[in-house]
Amino acid sequence: MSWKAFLPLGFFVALVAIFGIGLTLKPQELPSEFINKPVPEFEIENLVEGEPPVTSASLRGEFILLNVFGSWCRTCIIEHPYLMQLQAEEGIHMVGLDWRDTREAAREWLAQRGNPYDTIGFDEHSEVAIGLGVTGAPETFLIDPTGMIRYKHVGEMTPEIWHNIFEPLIEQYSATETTEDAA
Amino acid sequence: MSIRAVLLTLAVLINLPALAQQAELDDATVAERTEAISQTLRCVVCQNQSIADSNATLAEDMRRLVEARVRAGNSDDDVRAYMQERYGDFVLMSPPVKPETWLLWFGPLLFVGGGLIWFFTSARGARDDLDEDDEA
Repeated sequence: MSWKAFLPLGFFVALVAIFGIGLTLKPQELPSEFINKPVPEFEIENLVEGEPPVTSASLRGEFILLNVFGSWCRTCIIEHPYLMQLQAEEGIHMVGLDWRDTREAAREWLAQRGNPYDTIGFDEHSEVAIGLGVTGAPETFLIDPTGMIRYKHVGEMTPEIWHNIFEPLIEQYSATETTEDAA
Repeated sequence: MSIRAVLLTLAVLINLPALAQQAELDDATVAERTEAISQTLRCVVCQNQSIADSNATLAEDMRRLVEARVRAGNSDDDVRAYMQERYGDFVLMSPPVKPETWLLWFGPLLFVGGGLIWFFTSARGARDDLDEDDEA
């Protein structure tokens, strides 16, 4: 039997390997198109009626976590205590985007669980969510003081994600900023 | 009444419905174009459906946004570019042909080509084997 007889088998094994790798990928987790790009411009009404609208221009000056949530979102309930903790311990500026929600439901949700956000945009029809390329809730963007998006995390925020990804990025981009200032 | 006046009146009367329809026609065009564009955009939460076919709430909101942009005077390509900027090539049902996607587009040709080569070489090989058997 010549070696060529094993070609179909080799071909089959290669296909199995390719599809096997494919199975381990998570195509539903789209990488953000906005990494290292400025926050796309938007203006959206405040969750609290009468308060000034939330704009992309206001997301400047310090590191900001922009967190997409909704009272209908189960995973948001899971990550919520950690957001409260982050706010209390790290004092990080947190902006919420209440997505496809009703004002009453969101207010009640926050009244029950506490409000870690400095300000909250009310995005009833996904205008800003689609503008930011959001696919689900929760999602958390890291925005640096110059208004650039440095990271997007899909799914709940956890201590591991915070310490392993967000903290190093904050350190990295505050470092480059001070060197730029010095230069 | 002169013949000309009659003709003019007739012309106006005949065209009245058309003039009245102008506004409605716009709505119809918007709907038509929204549907056409929606067919070419992938629902990002259901993966293998276009936003025209999907009932997901995000797809619904994306259709709404497509319609708003069409109404605002964006071209079909403008709308697609807007979505592509936000969700990447993934959002396009038919991904653009570029070096990163060559394998995707031309991969099947490779398979057919490879299959043909294998078929002809192995067929010849089999005949050689037969010949050898005959000789033995």
